[in-house]
Amino acid sequence: MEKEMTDSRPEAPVCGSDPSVLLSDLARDSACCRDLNWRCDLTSEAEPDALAEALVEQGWTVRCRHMNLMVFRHPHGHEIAWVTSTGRVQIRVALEIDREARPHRAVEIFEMLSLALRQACLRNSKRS
Amino acid sequence: MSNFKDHSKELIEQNLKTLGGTPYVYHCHHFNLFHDQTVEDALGQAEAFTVRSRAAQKMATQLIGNLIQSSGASNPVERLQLAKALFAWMGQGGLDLLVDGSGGKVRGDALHYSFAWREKYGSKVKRSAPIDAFAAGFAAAATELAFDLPSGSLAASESACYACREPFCDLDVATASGDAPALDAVSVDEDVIMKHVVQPGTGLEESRIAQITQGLNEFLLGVDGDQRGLVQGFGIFITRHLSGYYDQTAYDTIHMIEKTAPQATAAVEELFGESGHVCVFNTFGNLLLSPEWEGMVGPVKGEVEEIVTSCAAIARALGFGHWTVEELKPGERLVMRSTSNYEFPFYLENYGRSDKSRCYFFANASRAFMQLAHRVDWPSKPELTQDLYQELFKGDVGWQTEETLCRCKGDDCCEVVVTKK
Repeated sequence: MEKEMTDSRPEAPVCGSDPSVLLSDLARDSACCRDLNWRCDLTSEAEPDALAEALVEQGWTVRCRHMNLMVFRHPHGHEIAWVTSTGRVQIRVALEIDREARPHRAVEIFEMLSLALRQACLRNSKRS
Repeated sequence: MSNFKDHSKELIEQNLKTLGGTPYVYHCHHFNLFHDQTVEDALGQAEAFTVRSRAAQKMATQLIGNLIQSSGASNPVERLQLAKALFAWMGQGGLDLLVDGSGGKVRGDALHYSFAWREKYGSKVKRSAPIDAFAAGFAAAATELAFDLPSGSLAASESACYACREPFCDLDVATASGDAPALDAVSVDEDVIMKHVVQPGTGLEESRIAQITQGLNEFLLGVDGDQRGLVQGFGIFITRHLSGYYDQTAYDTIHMIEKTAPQATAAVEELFGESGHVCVFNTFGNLLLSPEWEGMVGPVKGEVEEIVTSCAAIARALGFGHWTVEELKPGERLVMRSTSNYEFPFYLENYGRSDKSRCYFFANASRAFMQLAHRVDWPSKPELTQDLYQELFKGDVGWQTEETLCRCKGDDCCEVVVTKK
């Protein structure tokens, strides 16, 4: 399953002239239910407001905003928790998704996050 | 009424929480399933369902009754709507109450216990006995209160259960049979709690613990459920649950065993104690590994003092009481104290003084703190799987725990001493 997810990962988003990959691979994270939580890391700085704006445009809402943490919720109940101080991202698949479908759903959410990052970077480069 | 935050109250100094005047705590599905399984193991499935549903009915009567009063819900429709919304807010799932003054049908969708059971065991174990005793008792209480019926006049059973591979859960509410246990437990409310708890003390790292507790409480208030009434907080599947339910089911079970099979008492007490291991491993552990924790406190380094004091803060935030770290020698010994917890006030109020310590959860959760602090490689951010649980907690845990002082025995506080074997 891990291999399949790596293979199905979208093209890694790049920011402006900086070719560094922003998102690390997706991996299982500790969870109270199997395959519910997944983790990746934002390995380069991303602008929290720009990313939040891009995710909101996709239909996510900001559920929690803390000094070092942002949590976004999808209308279907999925969540993205982003620790802005360390770059850690946790993707939380909604509990109602069947166990077998959770890895695939995590990849879909990861793709949405990648797209939002690209949009955020694009927006940043236009502004600068 | 769909947001019950305004009815939730913190007894801040005691680190206890009430909802509509009724004590509640946060517990995850691993603990809930283990606790109820212990009641089943001790009493058998049918008797356990009765004990659990009647305890739920008693506690839910206090909670729903108080909220009906404070909200002014005056007719059956409003009262049943309130009960349904409350049940979902607690993370217990969805209830469709098709009832009148003589009872009726209740359809349960994504009920916490059956949903969680199937999630955890469904692929490996086939279950034939219904599991949603809490929902049954809650539905019976809601029906009684909606139609101004005497408390305990109705009882509920479950005829179809999602845990038994049915698509939904079906509950039947009807007039209680003559042999149904009376709902005679004394309700614990804020006044009762304050009667039994003592002035909070301070221990090691008090300011750190208090600061983290406050931060966690702010996060917990923001936790809400999905449309089906299931709640994920900190990435954990949790419930806001009535502590009186845990207390009555545990103590009634232990007392029955003490009377009918005293030779088995120690084994049953040990199982209720193990629920403390289950809770600390799954809830505390995953909370320490959560992004919320990392954002608020920072990544966990894995030092023994850090883990133990963090666990004390988590216990307080979850509403388990004012737990303090009195003494900690890494690798050797931990002394925890509590001037309040959710066990002894219920015990003293309902059963009076005991000749032995009765805070099974507190004693064994403290032991689990030491196990997590010494045996988990926190910096590697491990997955807290059931295999790891078995490795850490099955067989010889390596620590012995003893509740040396207990309010139930008349001591000034509860004290647990955990020592290396």
